[in-house]
Amino acid sequence: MSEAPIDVAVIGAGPAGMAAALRLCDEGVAVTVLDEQLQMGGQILRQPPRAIRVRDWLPGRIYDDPKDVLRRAQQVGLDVRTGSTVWGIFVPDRRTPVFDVRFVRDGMGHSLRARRVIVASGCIEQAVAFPGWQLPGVMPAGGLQALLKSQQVIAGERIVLAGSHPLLLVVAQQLLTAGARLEAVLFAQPWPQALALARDPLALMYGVGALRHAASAMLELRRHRVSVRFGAAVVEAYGEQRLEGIRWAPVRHAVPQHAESRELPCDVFGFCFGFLPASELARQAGARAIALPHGGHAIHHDGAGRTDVAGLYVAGEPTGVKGANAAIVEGQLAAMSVLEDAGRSPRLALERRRAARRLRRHQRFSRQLAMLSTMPDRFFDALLTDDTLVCRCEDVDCGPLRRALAANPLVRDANALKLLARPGMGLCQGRYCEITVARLLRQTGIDPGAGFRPRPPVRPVPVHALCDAPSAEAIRWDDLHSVNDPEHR
Amino acid sequence: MSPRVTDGVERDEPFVVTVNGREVAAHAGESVAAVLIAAGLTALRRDARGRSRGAFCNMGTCHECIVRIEYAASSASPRPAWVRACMTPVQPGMRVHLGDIR
Repeated sequence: MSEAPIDVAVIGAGPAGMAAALRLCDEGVAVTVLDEQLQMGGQILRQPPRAIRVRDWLPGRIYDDPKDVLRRAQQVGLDVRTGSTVWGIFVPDRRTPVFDVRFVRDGMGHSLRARRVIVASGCIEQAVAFPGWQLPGVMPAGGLQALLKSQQVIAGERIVLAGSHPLLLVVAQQLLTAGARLEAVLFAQPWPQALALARDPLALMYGVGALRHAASAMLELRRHRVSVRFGAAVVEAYGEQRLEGIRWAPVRHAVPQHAESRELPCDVFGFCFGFLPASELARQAGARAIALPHGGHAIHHDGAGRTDVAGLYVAGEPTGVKGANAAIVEGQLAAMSVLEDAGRSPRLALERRRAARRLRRHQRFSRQLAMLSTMPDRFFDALLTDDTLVCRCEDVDCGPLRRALAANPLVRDANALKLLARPGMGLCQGRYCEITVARLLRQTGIDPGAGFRPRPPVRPVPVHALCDAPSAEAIRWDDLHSVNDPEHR
Repeated sequence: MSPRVTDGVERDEPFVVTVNGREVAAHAGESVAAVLIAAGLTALRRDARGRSRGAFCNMGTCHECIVRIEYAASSASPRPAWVRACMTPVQPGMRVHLGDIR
């Protein structure tokens, strides 16, 4: 016997998921939130565990709204099951639209049945392959930041940050405040590119909190005499068994000038060139996605979170990365859509219009921010030598992939290259190599299109967890392959 | 400089875990990855070509920080397991094994 399904399952307890769940709770909807992390709040907050008590945790106005949502979630006592890794969303019986959400918790398989599902699975950092990036000590800046925010640990003694995204300034300031030794912050774009923001003064106004934060970070960096360079990029990380330093080079016309590269010793290097939607789960569940021009896939929706699959909604970064404040609004909008579709609350027109207006403002700023921080393909292409690692999990270098593409003209998409040369076959399931694989395909004149096809399990799970789910009937093996795969329907 | 931020941060008294037989200090609430990094152990495993790899994303996505864990006999989850170090809270008496996951 199966348990009666709950009304709504929300996947992800970040700003979008918490905001959606709170709005649903207001109306007395039975909602359960699943999140993989040990604390709710999402990556923006990375709440420390209770046993690590931090005075003046995450100061700065950019955290005000997400913190407020977290506070309310704690007050209301949302049903949040942390430590729960969702690996697939299924519809066991297409005549009764109840979703079977499968997840692993404490090494055991579980099932949650829900009439509707909101996927608010956040984003991941955009991986950038450059020679030596597999060395211990090289991390996405967000990884470095997560360690600091949630664990209050500084990953090394001499830190260099580089990339093109303003998050670098935020991380730099937090590291300095924590007492870290920061050697340099390198921005790949020239300084005047920052003035592009001024092209849309209204957008500036909507992002005034973030801009003020960035300005105070710049002042702090200057006060600590940290070297901040524009038009400078990492071209290599070196070291024997761990990072010993990076080589950086000036960037001209968006291309790093390798011939002029210089060494900069460090034991930790954090990079950030932007973020990609974590949309695999929604895509596995059958939601249609749009390939983004610079990599990644955003879930298509009706502007209020409804995907192409009835009963399946998305909110926050899976619809395209716009930041935590936009994610909060999208969570509220998705919740309103759920309420409307369930006939629970018919008078939402005004609230919806207001939310839509707020969202447009956030979008306007995040569009400017993206323009400011996105580097063109030729920048990343210039970093890819034949012996640069592309797929970290399966140990596949760039050279063999280029040769496989040259030798096999029939390879016309990412999946074919994956089958041929193994990029994307490892434990991260292509999350950190797809963007580079897509770039290699584009170089060969192939449209990478939908990228690697997301299949369940969308996270590695113990074999027994595929089968044991005490409260639901077994998933047919057939379902694992095809039920939500539009190409095999 | 201690890798653990102490100014404005309160932790419980440390306990001991072992990493490849060596004793390492840990605090309640810390992830296994944080304990390893704070102990200066950044190379967590070797890849197919014998190169060292360390923690990368720190949010459970990349699976670079997979280590073998044995729990203390008193623990509620006694089975040894491969875990993501960044997603696994440290426990007293834990034995962590770094090396080759293949």
